[in-house]
Amino acid sequence: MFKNLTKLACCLGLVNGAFVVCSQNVHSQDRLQHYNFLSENELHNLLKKHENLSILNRNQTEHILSLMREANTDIVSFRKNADRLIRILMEQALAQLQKKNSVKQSPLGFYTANEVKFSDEEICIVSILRSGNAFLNEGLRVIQGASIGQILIQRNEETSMPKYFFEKLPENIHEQQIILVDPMLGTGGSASMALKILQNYGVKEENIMFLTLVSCEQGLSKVFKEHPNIKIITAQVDPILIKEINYLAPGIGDFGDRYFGTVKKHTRGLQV
Amino acid sequence: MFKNLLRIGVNLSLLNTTYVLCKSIKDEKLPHYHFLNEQDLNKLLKKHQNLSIIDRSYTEHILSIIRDVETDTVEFRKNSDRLIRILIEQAISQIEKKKHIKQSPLGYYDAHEVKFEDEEICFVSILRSGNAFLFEGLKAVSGASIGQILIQRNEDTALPSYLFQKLPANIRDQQVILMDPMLATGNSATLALRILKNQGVKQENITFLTLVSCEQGIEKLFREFPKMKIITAQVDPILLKDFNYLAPGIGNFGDRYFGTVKKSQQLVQQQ
Repeated sequence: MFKNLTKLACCLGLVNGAFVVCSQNVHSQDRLQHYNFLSENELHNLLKKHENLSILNRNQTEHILSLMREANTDIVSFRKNADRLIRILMEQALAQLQKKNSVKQSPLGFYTANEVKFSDEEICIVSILRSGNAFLNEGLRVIQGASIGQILIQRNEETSMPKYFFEKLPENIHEQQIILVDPMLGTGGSASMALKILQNYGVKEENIMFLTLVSCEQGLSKVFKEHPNIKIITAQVDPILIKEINYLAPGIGDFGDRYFGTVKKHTRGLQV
Repeated sequence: MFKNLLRIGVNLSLLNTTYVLCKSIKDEKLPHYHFLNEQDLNKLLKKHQNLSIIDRSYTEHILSIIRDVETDTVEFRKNSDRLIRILIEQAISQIEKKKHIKQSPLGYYDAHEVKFEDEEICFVSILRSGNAFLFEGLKAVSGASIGQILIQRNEDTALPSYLFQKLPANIRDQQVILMDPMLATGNSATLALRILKNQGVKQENITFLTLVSCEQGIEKLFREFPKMKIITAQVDPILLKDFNYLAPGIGNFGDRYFGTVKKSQQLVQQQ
């Protein structure tokens, strides 16, 4: 009996050993990298290099972005936090629009009023479909009378080159203040294409503000090289653009899929 | 006939001149208030470390519309909500954060999140005007608990009197965001803060949000509660002594937001 027990114990030991070794192999296969955000210095250099770039204060955005980036965040939480961040971006865009002075009357006396120079209707939010449409929810809460333009640009899966499909812009867009929106700025290919379309319609660069949640240095440099007079406002600048797939890292994943709920959570990690 | 026409002409022009004179006299009675300049504001910020004033570029165009006596209820509410949202996001960004490592679809990153759960945050509104903050507050922090303190200012003495309170049982364990749109003498806010103190809430855990304030009110609060934080959208230059109203101010915020006084009565009703 003692011999049998010993044999049993040995077999169990072997099985256990095999299990431990196998599970280690599986974990080492999906050992993901740890990405570190840009330091204050690096961000400063970026702001000096591009005068027309604004990066939102870290305090305002990091706790919201931390929740959005997390792969496990469910769709309700993702949408809620995306909306909060988009609202902060939109208020910043309006704060930077040209203002005009006038004297107005409060219940107790006169004061110098400083208001946005343009009426709601003179502002046009141009969204780069499909992800850009996420901005329209909060955008219309802030600027109820704004006109909306839409440009459909999709990235070719293999070449990563942007492809233009469709556009619908206001007739008088060349007279309007444009707020161009797209949640991610990776290579800058899509944004560049959209900006060229706006130029063809007679829109001046100084009248364009581009809003994006997460961007990277390459995208920013490309857009500013081709359109130096536009303004860009971003919530955070990610350190890396992964070359093979042209995705930002750590990034948010595919913003459109996550906001519109078109990909199930468990396939998100695999689908790159 | 020509004489009659001439008489009519002269009478009309006399009437017109009288009208213009009277109108200009009436308009000249109201003073023009000038906002504090960058230097004054900087001094204020140096004096009070726990004071934050939201950047002018975010707030002046919104406040310009809110202050305007011609602004209707819909516009007033919409712009107040925008400003309140900005204040609340600022309050949350100042709450203690904690770090840990999380996973994005592509890899790990350093997550920096608010240390407290929604439920550990309590919005305490000083009724009735403070309730205006709750709409946007709950949009930003949907799981927060709400506390209410009813304090009304006595019409004759201008002193606050406490009427009612309903606060969470465990408020001493919570991060409290106290809200009241205007901070004038600071009497109502002080009363509310004393009530919170009695319930065991620590000063460091209190942030007071207000749209428009003045130096006197800010000083009074910090003198008695130096460790709390105050976040304001704009600091008005004057506190009118007779009515204890801020100038240029917003008028009576509660009446304008909740639509309980007709626009035409706003100028007349100085109290």
